[in-house]
Amino acid sequence: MALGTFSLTALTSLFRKPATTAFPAAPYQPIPGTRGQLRIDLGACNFCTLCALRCPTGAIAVDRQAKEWTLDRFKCIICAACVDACAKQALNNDPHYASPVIENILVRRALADEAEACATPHDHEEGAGA
Amino acid sequence: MAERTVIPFGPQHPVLPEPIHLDLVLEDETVVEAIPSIGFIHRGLERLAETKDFSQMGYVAERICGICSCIHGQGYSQGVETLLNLEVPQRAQFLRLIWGEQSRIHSHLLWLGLAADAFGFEALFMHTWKLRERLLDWVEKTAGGRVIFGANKVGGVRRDVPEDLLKAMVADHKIIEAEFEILADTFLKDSTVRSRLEGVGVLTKEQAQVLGAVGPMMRASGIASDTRSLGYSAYDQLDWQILTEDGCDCMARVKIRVREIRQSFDMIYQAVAKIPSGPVDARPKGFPQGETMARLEQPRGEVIYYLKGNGTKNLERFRVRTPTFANVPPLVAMLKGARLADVPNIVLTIDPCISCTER
Amino acid sequence: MMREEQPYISAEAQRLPELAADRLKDGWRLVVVTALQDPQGLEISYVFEKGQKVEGLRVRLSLDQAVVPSITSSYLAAFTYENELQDLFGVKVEGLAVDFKGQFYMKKRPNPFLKEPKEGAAAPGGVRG
Repeated sequence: MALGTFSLTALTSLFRKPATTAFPAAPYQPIPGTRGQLRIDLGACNFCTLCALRCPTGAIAVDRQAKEWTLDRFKCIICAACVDACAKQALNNDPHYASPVIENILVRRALADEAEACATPHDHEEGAGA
Repeated sequence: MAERTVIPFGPQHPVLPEPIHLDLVLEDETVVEAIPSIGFIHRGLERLAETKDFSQMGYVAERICGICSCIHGQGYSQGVETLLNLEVPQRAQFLRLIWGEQSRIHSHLLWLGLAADAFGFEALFMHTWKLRERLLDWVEKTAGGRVIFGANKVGGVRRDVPEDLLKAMVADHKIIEAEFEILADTFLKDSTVRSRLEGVGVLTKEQAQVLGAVGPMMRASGIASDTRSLGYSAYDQLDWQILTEDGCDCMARVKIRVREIRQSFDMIYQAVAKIPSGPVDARPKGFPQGETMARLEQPRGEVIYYLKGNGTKNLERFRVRTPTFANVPPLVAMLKGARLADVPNIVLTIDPCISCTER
Repeated sequence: MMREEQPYISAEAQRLPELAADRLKDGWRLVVVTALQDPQGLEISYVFEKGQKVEGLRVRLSLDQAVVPSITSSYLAAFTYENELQDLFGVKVEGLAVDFKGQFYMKKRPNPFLKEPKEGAAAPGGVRG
């Protein structure tokens, strides 16, 4: 007759602090190495289009002549196939996930624009969105 | 003859992890017949194999289901490796085994929580899932993803895990296992749990054999059969036994899944102790040719991947027969004669993963 | 990694119920029923397992004569696979114990897995899909 098997667990959990973080009040601590949103270091990219060919959903489009790299955020499944494929290690996964949006974001990065602007890639991308 | 009513169960029901529809024909409070119908989450993923490259298809195979994701990716990769006659390095086999067993533990913990929710013990459900989160943190640290592990690819695994991380993982797993034992005590011994589960959903040994039950459903009815004994991955190098129970009811299935969690923890410790050093992937050469069936053990039972290649970069046919698909006839047989209040317990006891069933 | 032998034996569609009954008496378990379409028609494989041995029976059908007898008289569990054959490939299964008459899968159009010859090949391969 075991009725009290759960009572110890129930009693101790009354006096413990919550197991969840108080997000968004407390900051999100990402686990290093997790596959968050896709980022590109355009300086290292040589526009070989290998990432676009390997992408299973067709989320990346690369224009060799215009030296442009476009990512369709809604199509990206963050599988990191492009990160594995890139010969120049220009692509990487930021451990932070992208915030939810209501309209699709097409991240368009062009070498010509980057040469003029001195903004860091992070700021540049947030501005490129909807 | 008493009056018959038809009550629809699902597709939306608080107890179901995924949508399935059952029409329950009731006489008073006893189920006389249950008619299943599926198709709410049918995405036709098998046809994608004909348009996607065989190496891209691995990403699709991983995303057939969120709970069983790791082993779907592994099974697909194993099938293609057989068609390419590719030898996978030993370190990759051990890493696949470690992630596969972690996938089994997290799936069984998820199921235990849902089973507790099905008979109304919500506090136990929350505690079980809190423990599961701690395990998933380790998967995220080693493989890179929490739900979709993204660990397997054709030729091996996608990333290596350094030795110190593996040792820290084993140390933390021992703490998780100790906390799990406290919860397992409630599942196995509490009299409220036992009164809801004992004698419910009986599937005799003969019925299990004829109806084609797989996985814990079959092992809880006394049939000793486990696809891991085929020796794929590194299972032939570890010391383990096939577990069986004789109860044939829902309580026996809870017992067997609890024992499988303990066995999986033990397998992970053995694998980390034995893992050799070396490369973690092999480069695939050529295109898949021929046909093969890869058979693996998912947390829910035996899963079969039938692959047929014709020498081009697209596969000709990719067919997944998941364990829940094989467990639907036993479900229909167990529901006959059950009380209406026991229907959620019986539906959950087969561990339904309808995303896998319908692909 | 060890590779198990998976032999397939050709069979006549009409003989399926008696072959299945023999297997049941011998203690074989039904594992899976798969269909695939190639340019010559349909090929349906019934795979059985006993101990750790796996064997398959293979039946060939042409698209206009796509009829098979059911094996639910021996293996009742086969009703899910045979309903799937009816729903997705348009095969007519005779004598099904539990017949959903094409309504097992809720779908928009009939026979979604059957490629019509006049439609041409499936969508062009490559990245888009």
